Amino acid sequence: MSRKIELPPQVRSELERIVGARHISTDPAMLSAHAWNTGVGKVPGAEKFAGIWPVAVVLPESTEEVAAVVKCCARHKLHFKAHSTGYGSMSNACSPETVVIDLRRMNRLEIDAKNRMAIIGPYATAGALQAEALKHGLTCHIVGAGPAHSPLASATSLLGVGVTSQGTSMNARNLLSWEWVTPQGDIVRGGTAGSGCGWFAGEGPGPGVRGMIRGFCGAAGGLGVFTRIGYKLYPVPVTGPQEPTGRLPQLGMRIPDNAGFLHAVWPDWDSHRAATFELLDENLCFAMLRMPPDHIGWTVTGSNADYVDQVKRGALPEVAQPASDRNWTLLTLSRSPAEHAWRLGVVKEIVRRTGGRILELTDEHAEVLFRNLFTSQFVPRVLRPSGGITTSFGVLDSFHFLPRAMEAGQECLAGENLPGGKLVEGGREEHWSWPHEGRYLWTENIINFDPASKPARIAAARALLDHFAISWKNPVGVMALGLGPVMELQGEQIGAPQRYIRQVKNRLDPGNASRSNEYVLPVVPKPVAAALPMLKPVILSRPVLGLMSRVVGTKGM
Amino acid sequence: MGIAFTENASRLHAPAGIACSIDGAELRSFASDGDTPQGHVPRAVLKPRSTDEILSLIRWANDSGTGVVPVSSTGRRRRGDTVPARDNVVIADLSGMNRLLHADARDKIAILEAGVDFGTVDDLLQPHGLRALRPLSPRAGKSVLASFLEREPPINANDHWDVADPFGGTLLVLGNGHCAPTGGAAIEGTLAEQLARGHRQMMPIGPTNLDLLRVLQGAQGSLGLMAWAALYCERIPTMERGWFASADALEPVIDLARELLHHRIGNALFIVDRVQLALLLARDAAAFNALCGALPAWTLFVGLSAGRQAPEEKMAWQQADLRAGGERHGVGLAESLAGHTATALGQRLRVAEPVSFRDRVSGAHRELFFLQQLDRAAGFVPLVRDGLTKAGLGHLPLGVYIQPMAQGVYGHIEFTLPYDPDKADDAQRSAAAWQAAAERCADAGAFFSRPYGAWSDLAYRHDDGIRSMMALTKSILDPAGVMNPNRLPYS
Repeated sequence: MSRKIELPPQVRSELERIVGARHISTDPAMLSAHAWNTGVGKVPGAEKFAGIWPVAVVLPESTEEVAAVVKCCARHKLHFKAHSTGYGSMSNACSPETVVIDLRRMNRLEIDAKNRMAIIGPYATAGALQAEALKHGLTCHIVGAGPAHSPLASATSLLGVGVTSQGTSMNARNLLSWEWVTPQGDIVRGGTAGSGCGWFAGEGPGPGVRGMIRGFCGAAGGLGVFTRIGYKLYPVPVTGPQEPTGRLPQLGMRIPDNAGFLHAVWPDWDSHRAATFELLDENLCFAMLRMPPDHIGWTVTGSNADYVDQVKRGALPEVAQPASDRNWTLLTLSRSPAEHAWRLGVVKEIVRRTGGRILELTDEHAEVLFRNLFTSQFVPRVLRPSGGITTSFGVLDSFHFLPRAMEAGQECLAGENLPGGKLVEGGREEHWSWPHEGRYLWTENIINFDPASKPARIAAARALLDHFAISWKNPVGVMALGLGPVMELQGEQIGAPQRYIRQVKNRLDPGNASRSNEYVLPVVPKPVAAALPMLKPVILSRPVLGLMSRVVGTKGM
Repeated sequence: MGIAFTENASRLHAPAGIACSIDGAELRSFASDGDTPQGHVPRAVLKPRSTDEILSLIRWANDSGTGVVPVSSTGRRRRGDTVPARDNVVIADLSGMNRLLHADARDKIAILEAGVDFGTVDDLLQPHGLRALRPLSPRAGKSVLASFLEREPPINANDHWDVADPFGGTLLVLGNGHCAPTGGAAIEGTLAEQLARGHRQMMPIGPTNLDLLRVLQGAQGSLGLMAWAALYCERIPTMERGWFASADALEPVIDLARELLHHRIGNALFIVDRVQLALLLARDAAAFNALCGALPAWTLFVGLSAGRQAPEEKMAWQQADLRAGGERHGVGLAESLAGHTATALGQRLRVAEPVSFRDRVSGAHRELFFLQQLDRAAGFVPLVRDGLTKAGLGHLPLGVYIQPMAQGVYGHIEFTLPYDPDKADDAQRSAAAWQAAAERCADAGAFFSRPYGAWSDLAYRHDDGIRSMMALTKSILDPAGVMNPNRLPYS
């Protein structure tokens, strides 16, 4: 734990006047709940707690209270960090002088069904939003983090990709109008909300200035606090609570009428890719998901022991066997029997024509996989074998790159996930892939490791670092993790976005009060900035990568 | 005036290699447009032919303190955004950069230069089995990139996921004189190297924490300009058929449109009143007047299409769903109205003509457009109509066009007032009445996302911090203020 800072009584009094005495805490038990080292952004290590704990936690109820807290922090030279649902460690304090602004009292959730949108606060979870939206025949995009995440945090401040992106886009594009407390405590409303016209559009009048503070990624808490947004929803031909099937932990969901749920495999990546282009041609599917077979196995079994037992007995269903790795899980949603017949017929014909075949699924397996897909419940399954994951790649380009991405995934795992390796045992690669809006490929290679094992942590760090080396040597589309310090190495070759981002950061937050490890470095001395791109080949050499892996695996990032 | 041009040109010292015109008539043609009778005359028209030449031009402008107004379209311009708002400005005329740089049928995406216009784009794309998404009947000389850079809504409402559509990656040149590749174009290597590796510049967002495409959209050329862009296209359908869905009231038509959008049915979909539909269909005043008497009050145009996968089956279920929806909402379906088939209209919408269809009958028109949600659209119609009547202009036809955007989350609501420019009284009185209508709509919740001309005052009368963000943006991307100076209220 970092050095302990005491919150001065005067500051506490000021904060109490803003949020009320009940809604501020400096109790270590409470602070510990805001210092979990977990989820996305976790430091590879065995420690349950992050090294830095906040000085206090406050729970504002309104945007005005958030602004007042931010201004109070500025007056007293404290830092602050927004915390919505706190799925990952990005919401953790980055300095011991940090006041965590826990937004759980701001859980507004209002559905505007006619206009297929919602108005939400930071603590409206995706699960709650989906349940409310389904009452109106709508659903929401749920990112890979699952239903516990905050769609507001995802849409404004992080990535926002998820397994149903084919039908529900991604959150940078689902964000409509927005309300934001700047690092200096000013309230800004962008788009229609700023003109008092509602929450339905985020750009204008004139330029879309949102693009200065939220690109492919958000600032991860490094640029103030977002407090309310309009959020796009997606119509589906199902309404109300869906009928559960099975029993915990193998809960499933009845597959709705006029829905097709298929799992198809192909003999090689070229035929898989040829089928993909045809499947995307007319947006036949609401969702298309490629999972590594071992991850499917983790999903259709109730425990690690059950999975291992089935592997040993050779009893895994075909869908979870290594040979089924060139696969798509396909979900079609239709509103009439005729539409359903067309979608399903065309999908089956494409699979057949491209040399694929459709695997038999038991009802239980189909319903479990369907539920996990429709409500994005996969994260607990993927974390189950080891409790430690990180990820790599991104691509966000043509499916042309699919075979190359699979090769690259294999290359960066370097056999460490095969029997005898240091990572969790799995397939040749561990790519989760899906299309966005019928257009481009998202694929991320999951690196599963045992966080309690130093060799495993080093191997995971090496796989992650190798992914940068591989991507820079022969780009496989866009790198999703081109964030923060990484952009200092790469940025000059792609238009130097880090320079603009740094200007935004320093102009809006000159004291770096809104502190994040995942946003741009506020200060990079000019000689360093000039030298870093030139040092890239050195940094990416095998000895240096090996050394960096050992450092990261031993001490954490 | 001609002498003044000569004097200015002699001091210009424009960057070598860029074609430069100081022809008085050409310069004067940029000093006004259909909505702006007299702006400032530019010093020269510079005509870059490459990204490098654009860069040279912008750097020269920074060095010399010269303003730059980017123009990519040809023909009769409107809305004032390309008319210089101060002296000492040059026009960056990109209309000569009109190449199709690449097209990929498999990914349904093409890379266009800024000067490719709607009059030629489909001819360029057709050999690749593609065609462009497009706004409602744009004029032939309108630049495709400029149109979408100004957030002109495409009629392909189901493909309009987000306001950035149909853009993929782009190459911007900012006012600071630097190139800024965006989205999928922000990858190592030249465009040729990227294409050779298989990149298709498909992602519209980024790179990293920045989204400059979104920033420059709606900026009226005041932050930078776009050299080229990857644009999502539509595969040319195997089958295509149009339908008119009509009713006496607007609400049921909107309800049907919403249902179709929720089902993602229709490759083209928009709502018009009888005047707007008559403007689209008529070739002359007599036909227009006859159509205004014959057409239903409100019509939803629905273009159904099918591609390569079992097209007959797809058309059959789409038409069945459309019929069922029409019955459910009390909206009559027809393949033709007043002797005009919807299928033929769909085909005509793809043929760009030199003059806007809104001017075809009367010679001129006023336009008023803004954003609001579809369920609030009907409330604006009496506001504008009653205002015109009170101003003694009830004899003029008023057209209404509603374009669902973001797949129906909201809509572009547009009023068209055709008038005879030779009737001075109509022209003058309609100008005042039109501004009053804009104010009434603003009071009722109209959002002027694209604040041209006098709408700027309405758009920025509320200021929840957005102007300070605009000032910050301008100071970073165009610190010397060379891009379209005095166009938007950055200070």
